[in-house]
Formats: sequence, C-alpha cells, structure tokens
Amino acid sequence: MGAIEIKVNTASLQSAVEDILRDYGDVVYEATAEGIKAAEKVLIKNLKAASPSIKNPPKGYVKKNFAKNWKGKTSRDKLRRYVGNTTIVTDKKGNEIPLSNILEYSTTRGKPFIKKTHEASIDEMARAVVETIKKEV
Amino acid sequence: MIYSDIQTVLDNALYPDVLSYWLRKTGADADEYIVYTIDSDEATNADDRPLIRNTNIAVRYYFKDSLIGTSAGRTKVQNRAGTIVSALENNGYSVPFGAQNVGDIDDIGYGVLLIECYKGRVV
Repeated sequence: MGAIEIKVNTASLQSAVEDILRDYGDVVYEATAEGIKAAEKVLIKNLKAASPSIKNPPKGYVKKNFAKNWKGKTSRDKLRRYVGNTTIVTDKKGNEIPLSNILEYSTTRGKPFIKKTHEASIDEMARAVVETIKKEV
Repeated sequence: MIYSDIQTVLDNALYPDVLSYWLRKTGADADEYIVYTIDSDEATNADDRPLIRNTNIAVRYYFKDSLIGTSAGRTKVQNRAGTIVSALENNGYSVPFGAQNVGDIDDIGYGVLLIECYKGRVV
C-alpha cells in the first residue's frame, strides 16, 4: 500500500499564498507611509536650518518666526505628503501672501533656498524612508 | 542653449504684446511682462561628461493689479496664462503644476502667475 501523498503545488496553495502576499503588501504600504513621514521630518529639519533669519533686526521689525513655521500635511494618498510654511505677510494693499512665495520667487526681494534645500535633501530623505521600512517590515 | 530656447519659445508666443526678460525686467513700464529664471540645470553624467541635462525654469507672468478689476481683464490674464502654458508644452517643456497665483511677490502692484516648467535634453 502506498503512503498518502499530498499535492504541494501552486494550484493548491494559490489562495493561501495570495492572502499572505496581500498582508505583506499592506505591511509594506504602511511601512512606506511611515517612511514618507520620516522623509518629511528630514525636509522640515533642513528647511528650518536653511531658512533666512535677521540677526540685527531694524527698529519696528515684526518677528514672524518663519523658520519655525514649516509644517507637513498629508493627503488622502498616504504615500504623498506636502511641506509648506504658514508664515503670511501682507502687501501694500493688505493682500496676504505666503512669505515663502516672496523668498523663493520674488526677483527683487527673493532669497531662494526652498527648491535647493529640497534637492539637496533627496538622498537623506531616501535613506530615512529605507531605514523606516527596514524597521517596520 | 537653454536661455535662447526659452526666450524664443516665449517671444514666439507673446512678442510684441508681452516682453520676456531673464532675471530682471528692464525698460519702460508695461501692464504685462514675463521674468524667467533658470533655477537648476542638473546633469546626468556618462563617462565623466554630461549626457543629459534637466532644466527647471520658473516663468513669472506679471500683470498689473488693475487688470483683474474687470471681467475683460481677468479673461485676458487667464488667456495669457493658457497661451504661455501651451507654448511651453508644445516646445517640449513639461508644466506639471500649471499656472499658480503667488501674489504680488515684489510688492509693486502686479499680480504674478508662476509657471514652473521642466525640460530634459541630450547635450
């Protein structure tokens, strides 16, 4: 009498393997979302460090705490986050303008540093993402 | 040369109605004008030489505040922004964010629409 043989093949395992891979995909997705948060923190840290400041402000200068106002926010897509600065100033007519727009894009009063800082931070942000995924998965 | 390329694209689409300047506007006052800057021109190297360059250009379309006080003026500004974006896209530039209103960033009584564009080229 021959021993019972149980088939082990992709057909019999398909459903179980799919379930496991689906769970694994969820874990990787969540880990990557955490990694993006870590990358966001890196960018905020670097933008704070690169933000221009006035050491000897003139009389009447209103301090805006620009460097402290870098914030991140999420979107519906957890793998996408946005970093911006909430400091607002007003023009002569009283219209509100984000100070970051002036610093980055004004041709007469600008001190561009945001795009440069972002580009210079890409390797560090990528490392933060990978490190977080390694910890989580 | 990327400078002459972007200048030509803008001039072909807008000259003589709107003049385009690199870095800073000069000359007589105008209701509308463009100032563009090359913000980066990153190279991808092969054999220690640049093989591809990816350029990022910030095109700022300035329009006098008073223009948006009328419906006709607002339409003019919108159409102008559309013309600039189309001209860039038709000449190999990608414009991922379209035209964004960044306000009177120079505090001179002119609104500014920012059009960030990118172009990769073999060098």
